[in-house]
Amino acid sequence: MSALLEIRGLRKEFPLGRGLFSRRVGPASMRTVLDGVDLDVGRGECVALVGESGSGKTTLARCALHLLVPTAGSVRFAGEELSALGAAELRRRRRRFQMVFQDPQASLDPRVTVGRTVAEPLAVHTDLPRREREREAAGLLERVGLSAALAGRYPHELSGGQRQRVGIARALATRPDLLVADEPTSALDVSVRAQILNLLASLRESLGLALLLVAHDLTAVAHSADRVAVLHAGRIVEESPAAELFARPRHPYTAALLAAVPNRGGVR
Amino acid sequence: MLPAAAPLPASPLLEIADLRVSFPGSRRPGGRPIEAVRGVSFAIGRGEIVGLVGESGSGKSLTALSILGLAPRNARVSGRIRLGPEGEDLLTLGPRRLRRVRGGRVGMIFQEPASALNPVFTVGFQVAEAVRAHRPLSRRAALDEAESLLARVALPEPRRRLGDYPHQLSGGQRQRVMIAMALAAGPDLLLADEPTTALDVTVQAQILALLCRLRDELGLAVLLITHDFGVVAETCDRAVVMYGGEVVEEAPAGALFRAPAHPYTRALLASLPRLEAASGPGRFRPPLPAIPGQPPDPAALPPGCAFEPRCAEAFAPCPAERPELYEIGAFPGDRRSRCFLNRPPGGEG
Repeated sequence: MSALLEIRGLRKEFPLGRGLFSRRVGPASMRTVLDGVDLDVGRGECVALVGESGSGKTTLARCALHLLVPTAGSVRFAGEELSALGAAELRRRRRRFQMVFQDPQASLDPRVTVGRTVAEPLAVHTDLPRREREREAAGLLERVGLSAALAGRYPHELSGGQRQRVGIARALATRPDLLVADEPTSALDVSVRAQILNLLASLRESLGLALLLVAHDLTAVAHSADRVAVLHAGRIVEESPAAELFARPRHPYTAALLAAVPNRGGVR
Repeated sequence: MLPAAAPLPASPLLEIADLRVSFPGSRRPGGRPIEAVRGVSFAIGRGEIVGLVGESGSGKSLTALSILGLAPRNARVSGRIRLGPEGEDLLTLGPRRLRRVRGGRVGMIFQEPASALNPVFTVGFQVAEAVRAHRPLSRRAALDEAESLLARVALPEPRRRLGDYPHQLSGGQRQRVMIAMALAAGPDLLLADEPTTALDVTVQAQILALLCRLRDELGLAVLLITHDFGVVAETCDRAVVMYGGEVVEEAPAGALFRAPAHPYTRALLASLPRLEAASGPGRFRPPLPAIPGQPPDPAALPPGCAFEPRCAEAFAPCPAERPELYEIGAFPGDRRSRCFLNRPPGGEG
């Protein structure tokens, strides 16, 4: 059986030197951010993408959802090549793969209530009547551990952890098969992060969700991932089952990353 | 790596006593002032690295900013902050004398080295300027001094770097430049506010190693403000844990991680995922023991213990009474915990 998400030979280049003050002489030179990436995410699987800033992990996550159009290579979702789809078709497929962002403060519209935020994907992707959408949204809020009574609140009235739960509820609204979560806990308070990691794990278990987790926090990855891909300078330098990668890193870069994780002394 | 616990030196380098920082509340009638720091006391010895750990709203950054008189203008700051045995209370110094302390005996580095450096001046100019602000040197001599400061913080090719602009450096190199500037006047104490939060883990490890080396070579004391307990374990001699504007626990770092005394510290350390989790059995690992709820809003603190609403170990006195910071160590100043569970026998009322 083929994987849910299949990425093959993915390249992404961005033009360089088009800044405000740069002179435009000759053809724009290109910067290669992803240089031939292969990656699979199976149904219900959690694959973590780790790497330092500039490694290309966020670009890869965005290309996987066709939020960015790859320069070359193939992204297949459930066997279907995404770049072959027209805009309307792609939009229809989008309900099956959704994104959770790093900073819930920035990714929620401050002028829209929580209930409407969560119900909005349903307005886009379904023809449910308004009343139904509201009922569905209330159910989604409860599913992510929030009281349905919060539906009338605005994002600024919530805590960071609550806002991230809203972001997750919105992503779940269309009953996706795959969530792509870009650093879902790194903007949260330390004492709230475990709640969100637990929530993502329980959603995977109860909904059979696949998760592509982009993270620089290797302890969170160790706790959550089935498989880990290490990205360095636009290439995957190592990909292994999590247990193996953390016990016996094979690539020196992976070993360096693991060695740099601050050691918690006696508790470790 | 962590030195054995020793009694605090008789005269600490920096002593903070009953520091309080509050902000005017809303203008509406009945709007009470917001207390962001509620009676913080701790000390730092010479050559000691102390971690001030807490989450957002815990008051850790305000505590550090108050040391240098950098709290926001509308803040009301009270208490005592004494630098050195014969030192005056920093909170009573006028602006001019405070400016001499700032960057003089006390250096400071921040989270974002990119925004703390001026993009239109060279690194050499900025470090030399920091040197000349506190020492009467010629431009040429200050530039030479800048070069040796850059060498001290292990910036590669310091001579060539003098002519670089901040954007030509990486994040880690910029933080090294900031540290060089903070060292320019030969301070006794460095305040480091989340100095590695914006950096990648491998670079973070290098910067933390640099701070430890500077402590060893120069006898520099460091107050390291962080939200990351891993950073504390790696770097600090002692840790001061803040929650809801108060110190809730203070201990030698090794002891804190071996046997945290306060329920907040205990629960937080237990909730952190571990690298070893990956080798655990089964597809779905057991859930992390998460702490429910979120850190308190300084404008709406509970009347009793600040952690009580989230605490699994709360009992009768916790919701109504505020616990004191009880001495629980082998000798005074060794360990403290602000929890009724740690109240000494006979310490009631």
